[in-house]
Parts: sequence; structure tokens; C-alpha cells
Amino acid sequence: MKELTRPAPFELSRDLVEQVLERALSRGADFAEIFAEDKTYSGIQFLDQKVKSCVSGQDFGAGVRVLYGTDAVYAYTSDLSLAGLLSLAEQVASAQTGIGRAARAEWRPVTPPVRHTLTVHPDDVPKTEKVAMMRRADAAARAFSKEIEQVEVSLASEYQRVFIANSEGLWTSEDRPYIRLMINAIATDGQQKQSGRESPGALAGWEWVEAQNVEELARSAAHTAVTMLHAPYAPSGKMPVVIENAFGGVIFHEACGHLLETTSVAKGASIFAGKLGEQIAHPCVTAIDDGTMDGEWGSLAIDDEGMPTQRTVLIENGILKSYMVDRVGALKTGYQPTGSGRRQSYRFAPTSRMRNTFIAPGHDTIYDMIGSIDYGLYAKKMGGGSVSPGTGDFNFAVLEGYMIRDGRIAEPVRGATLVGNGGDILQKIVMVGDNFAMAAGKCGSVSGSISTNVGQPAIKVSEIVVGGRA
Amino acid sequence: METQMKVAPFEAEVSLLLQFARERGLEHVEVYARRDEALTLRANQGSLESFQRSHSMGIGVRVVDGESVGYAYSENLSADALRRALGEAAGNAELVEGEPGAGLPLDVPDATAMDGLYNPQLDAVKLEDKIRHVLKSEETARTCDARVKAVPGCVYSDATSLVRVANSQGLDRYYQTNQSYSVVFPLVSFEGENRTGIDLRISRDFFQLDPEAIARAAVGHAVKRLGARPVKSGTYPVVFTHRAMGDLLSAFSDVFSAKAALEHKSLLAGKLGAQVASPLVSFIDDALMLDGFASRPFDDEGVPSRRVAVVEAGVFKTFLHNTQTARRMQAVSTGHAARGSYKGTVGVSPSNFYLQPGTATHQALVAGDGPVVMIDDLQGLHAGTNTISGDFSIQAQGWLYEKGEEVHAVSNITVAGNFLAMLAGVEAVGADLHFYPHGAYIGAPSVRIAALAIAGD
Repeated sequence: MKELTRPAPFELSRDLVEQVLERALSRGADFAEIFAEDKTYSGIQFLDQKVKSCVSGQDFGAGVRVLYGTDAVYAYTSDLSLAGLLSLAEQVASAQTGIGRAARAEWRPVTPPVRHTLTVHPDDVPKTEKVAMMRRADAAARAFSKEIEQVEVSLASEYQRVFIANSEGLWTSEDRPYIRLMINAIATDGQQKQSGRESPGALAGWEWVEAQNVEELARSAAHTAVTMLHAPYAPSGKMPVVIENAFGGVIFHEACGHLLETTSVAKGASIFAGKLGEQIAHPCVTAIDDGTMDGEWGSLAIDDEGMPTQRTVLIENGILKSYMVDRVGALKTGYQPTGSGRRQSYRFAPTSRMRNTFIAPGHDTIYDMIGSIDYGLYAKKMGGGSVSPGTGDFNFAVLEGYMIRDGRIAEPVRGATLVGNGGDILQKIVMVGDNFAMAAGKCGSVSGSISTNVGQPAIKVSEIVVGGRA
Repeated sequence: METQMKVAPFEAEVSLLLQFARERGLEHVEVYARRDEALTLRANQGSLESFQRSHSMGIGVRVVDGESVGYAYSENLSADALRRALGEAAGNAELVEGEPGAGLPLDVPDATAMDGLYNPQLDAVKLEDKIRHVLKSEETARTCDARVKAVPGCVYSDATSLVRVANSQGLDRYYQTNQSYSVVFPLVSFEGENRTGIDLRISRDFFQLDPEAIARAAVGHAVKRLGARPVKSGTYPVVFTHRAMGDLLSAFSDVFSAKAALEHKSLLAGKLGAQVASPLVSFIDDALMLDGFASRPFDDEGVPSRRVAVVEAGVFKTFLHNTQTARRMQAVSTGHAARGSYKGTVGVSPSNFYLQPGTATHQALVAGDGPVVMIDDLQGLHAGTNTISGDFSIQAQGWLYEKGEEVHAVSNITVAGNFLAMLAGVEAVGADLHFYPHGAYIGAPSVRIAALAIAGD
């Protein structure tokens, strides 16, 4: 295969960066950083069996951050001229007066590894070819059942170029190509409507789309919609639940992942604060947050503070091993940074965030788990959820669920939500399967919406509140 | 004369784009330009934890070719970048298949001037006063009650936005708006139980925001939630407080969108003129409300705003429309075209949208011999609601009432139902209308529903 030439890195001029950082430090700050971004976006939406909308754009701007101790001052602008950036630096400098005497260090340019697997830039592919793929997905979903009344297919690609330099001499940049395909199918019987979706994504190029079986993805979305259309409402109450692999990992992401970010740990607002080395989960649970997996949606070579990412073991055999730590989180807690400082764009100051976060595979089979339950719920596909950081209370929607009766998967049920508490559920994950998979998602938090993978094998939770209607 | 001399914002960019459009022979081009400036201060443990200032601006271009529409945006405002954006939008229009009704608004009337949307005095408030405000509210929250364990959120923010819409048909108008808000989010702990509370206030007058009052209200709210436990699973009469009702309305606001209806995503499709809710229910959208925080003289394609009765005494009167949805449904635009930002496409969104208050008192709302569950907080609205089917199943907390008296706080329950069935089951509407910023500015009073399923113990 032809080796791709790496494009020249996206950088601002040295002279400009030096002036901006020196101005930002001028009132006694301890640290100054500039993050610049040039991102092109292209999105196509296919709905009602035609191309419904098509948007292109360029995001362009920079943020300057200074720290006085752990207090952060941040400002951003879309004016990247010397005058625009110096005015920005002056504003952050004048927000506080510190006693720090940080001087700008000599430059140490760092060329990070390439984490993406792009070989074909999506902008080089004719849009008609993209539309042809979307049309195939639409046709496959509609062919699945006459009850499918609407199909939405969208393709979004972003080419994000970031440049980061700081007063400690860091000088680095990375190109991050994101691509995501979303298929949403709606089924109706004339009265009710139900939907199903598939939405894989990668840190890659068009070649990743070509490797997807889009018809199979479309049929899977349609299957969920049609199955749920004919399903009665889920019952309410406490019961054992088997949560399937891939997007099922949203349970760990919401219920535990957010509480292991120093953003909440440093404030004492997490139930897991101060519990390093303690048994916080059932011994069958090992959980990892890994930014180094090539081509994965949640991967990046460097975080948005310029630190190389790493594979961080969060929980090992039930024992809390690490938090996810950004620069300010490290200053506040004393833990070593883990390459977890992330932000949606130049419009956000970075904070500790997840990357590819998952429960590691175990040895149980899905058959063993289902077989061990007389009456419970099998959550085959999960929807989104949220968590209250102070209390760890969480909830998320079951997109496609089935009752388990006498050790077998029985009738489908709709409208179920799983409700519980992060600290509580970790102790109740009693079986971990061998069918590991990941799924792409968008995670929203204080530093914006970022790409993260969730993942797990199938797991059995011994008891959880199922909110339903029956 | 002085106002005549003033150069309108984005003058160079707008005239360049319209000139490029003429040069390319594009006859239907719209420019949406927007500038936002904001300041956000966060306090924690007695110090200013973060200070953020933002300046962003960008331009969105919409090109209409027959019935096909293409979009592009740029934050790079150089002439080359603007020319490229126009070219991208024109290319995208070629790819998009035409759709009936697409096009720029025609014969658009003048918009009402709304001078009150921008308060110049807010820009004159000294930075020190704002910093003092956020530190005071954090200190008050941290120290006013021994049960406060942390104050995870204490934020002051103000913002100024400027929007200009111009098109090749000669429409050209702009407005400026500003606001400030203050929010406190404390965590209280008592005998091992953690609860959070919140208070948020929003104003165009900085001095209307009382930092101590906000902090005390937020702590009071959290404390009132202590001692919570689930109720037994079953069907209960349910009272949604204005806060919870506002959350629900926000989650389901798309059912009133003509765009959602045309895309077969609205529960109200085909129900114009029908009784869709209890006669106690009326929904209004009023972008001209002077004390609203989604107020604007015109929408995002330049169509003047007006007050719209969406549901009157339970009867569904109209969807919210933009120019295109109105043409497709033989209606008139209600002035609800919305882009969100220059990056967005033209959709439909409510502005100041509210459930009209009634007359029921708190006592009347919780009355009855049997138990009544009052719900004040809904968690995970996005995950727990299906806006297409109207079904919801949402984690909730609140209080249990019996014989009109509060018995204990309630948590770890889910409340489930269907949005339209719930509106049909409205038994009483309170007088306590409150608004919350949800993107749109959504308001509701407290409301009693005859029966909803609660999952608890």
C-alpha cells in the first residue's frame, strides 16, 4: 500500500506565539497555554428518501489559558491575527494578579504518533458517492419491513487540526479525522411510533465507511424499531438485568466514568473521591480508559493540553487504581496527569474527560448469564443516560429490551429505563462476559461535546430498578 | 444623524458576500451573521476558580437554487474564506434534492423595534462587582447551613449577542440583546445521604441578582430534598412543580414544530383543530415578551415575531412555522425559523414558550385523601423521553403528600406516561408561572395530573 505523506503540521508562527504567551504571563501567572484549531466539517443528511441537507463549514479560532495556582483564566477568539491574539492575552493577564514568576521555557517540539487510520480523505470522495451509500442504507431499512415509515441516514466528517504550545516549552500539533455514520429508522402501525438506530464512528477516513456493512447496520436499526413497535410496556420494579455488549457500556460511562474524572473528584463531589486502593466494585470488574487505540472514535495521540494519551487502568479486579486526570486536576489533587485533558473546540477550556472507556472482557457467556435468571430484563440495546455527579444517581433508557423468564429470553418490552446509583451498581455487576465490543458516542460535559467510545462485554447486574409502565 | 453615520455590524462581510453572489449569478442568497461576547465566572472554596471570556463570530450562508437549499459557514472572515463558503453552499445546493416550499421569505413586513432587549448598563458593570457577586454567593452557600458539603457549581455569566440577517431580496436587519444570570448548585449531606439543589436567576439588570438570596434558595432547595426515599410502585395523582413541568415541556417542545410534523416526527400531525389536551391547558409562544430571554424582533430568516396561541383551552390551533414549513402546509410563517448558530440549518424552534397559568393554589394542587406525589426534578430527560411516541419514563425526585400535608421527600423513583395522555389528564393548573432557560425560554406553572405510573420500591 502506498505510504501517505504526512501533511505539514498546523502551527502558528513562533514569533506570534512567543509574544502571546509572554503577554499572558505578564501579570504573574504560573502557566500560559495557547490552543489553536482549524477544523473543516462536512455533513450530509438523507431523509424522506432524498438528500435533505448538506452543510460545509470551517471552525477557526484559538483559546488562551493562564493559571494562577489552580485558578484558571480562559478566553477565546476567532480572530487569529497578532492584534486579536495579543488583545486576548491582555484580557486573560489582567483578570487576576499573581505572584508567580513563570518565564517562558525553551521550545521542545514534540511530534506525536499517528493514531488515526485515514487513507482516503472524505473531502476527496465525490459527494454523489457518499449519497449512493446513504441510499443503500435507506433501501435496506425500508426493505426490512413495511412498517418502517421513515429512515434518516447522516454522514458527518470532520478534519480537526490542533496546535498547542505552552510556557513550559511544549510545541505540538495533531490532525484528527473523525467520521461517523448514523442510521435512524422509525416504525409505525398507524397509531404508535418506535425508533431504532445505529451510529458507528471512527478516527479514520472514507476507507472506514467502505469497510462497513451499511445494509446490515440499517436492518439492525429497523429491527429494533419494528420489534419495539409490537412490544408491550416493560414492568416496573427491582430485578436482575443482563446488559448487552458495545453501547451497553454507557452504564459504566455514566454511572462510574464521570465520577472518576478529577473534575468531580477534586471538588469532593464524587462518591469515589479519596478511595484509591479501595474495593469499589465486584472483583469481576476491571475497567479501562484508553486513548491509544488506533483508529478508534475516542482515541487521540495527544490530549487537548498536548500531553500524550495513555491506557489508564481505572479499576482492576474491583479495586480503584486511578482517576482520569488533567493538568488542573493534577494540581488540585496531586495525582499524575493521565493525558485526559479534553475539549470540544477552542471555545472550551480543557478538563478531565473520557476517551475509549470500557469494562474489560471476562469469562462468562451470555447463555450462562441469561440462564441464571428466573425473572429479569435483557437490555439488548441501550440508549443514552445521565448521572447526577454529587450523588451518583443515574438513569438510562433501554432502546431494545426483552424479558427473561425461566432462564430464557422471552417477549420484547418497550419503554424501560434503568435507574440506580453508581457506587451501588459496581458492587452488583456479578458476571462479566467474553463478547467484548465498543460503540461510538458523543459525551457532553463542562468542556463541551467530545467523541468517546463506550464498551463492555455483556454483564449481569444482580438487581437494579427498572422503570416501566406496566 | 449620528445613527446614520454608524456602520452596521458585519457591513464589509455582508456586502462582500452579496457582491460575490451577484458575480456568480446566484439570485437567492441569505447571509446570517452573528457575534457573541460572554463572560463566565466560577467560584469554588472562596476563590475565583475560573474566569472565561469569549468572542466569537461567524457567518452562515444559505443558497437557494429552485427548491434546493445549500448551506456553508465560516469563522474565518477573510475575503477568500467568504468566497469559498459561498462556493461550498452553492455546490451543496446542487446536491440537495428540491423540496416544496423551499426559498427565502418574500414581502417581509418590518419588524417591531425592541429597544429593551439590550441594556447598555449591563456592559458598564465593573468586573470587580461581578467577581464580588460570585464569591459572595459561593461563600453564602458554603456557610449558611452546616449540612452543605460542597458547592459543585457557582457561576455568574453575562452575554451579549448580535444577529444580522440580510438577503439578496433586499431584506437587511439586525438586533442586539444581552443578559446576565447567576446560578448556585450546592451539595448537602446529612447522615450519609447526599442531595443537590439549584437556584438560577436571570436578568438584564445585574443589580436585580442578589447573590445571598440565590445561594440561600439553592441550599434551601437541597435541604428540602433530604430524608428522601422511594414510594411504593403504583399509580398516583402527580403534581409537577413549575421546574419539572418546564423540563418536560422543553423535552417535548418539538411536537409543536411544523418541521417535525412534516418529517413524521410529531405526535400532533393531523390534529389541527382537535382537542389534544384538557380544557385547562393553553400554550403560548411570545417572542415579543419584553422580560423574555428568547425575545427577538424577528426570527433567524428575518420574519417579524408575534405572539402565537399554539393550544387554546386544549384545542390545537397551530404548529410553529418557518417560511418553508408554512408554504408546505398552506399556513403563514409564525416567525419561528431558528438556526441555533451560523453553523445550523434553518429549522423551527420555540422562543418564549409557556403553559398559561391557572388559579389553583398549592393546597388545591396537593389536596385529596390518598397519597399525591409532587415531582420537582427530572433526571435524564433526553434518555428517558421518546419525542416520537410521546412516551416517557424518567428518574424523578420530589415529595409525598397525604391529606394535603407533606409526608417525606421522595427519590429513586421513575415517573412514566405519555405526553399527550398526560396533557389530557391535567386536573388543575397553578398560578405560579416560572421560566427557565432551556435553549428556548420555557415557562410553566405547577400542574396536577390525574394519574401517572410511579416505579419505586
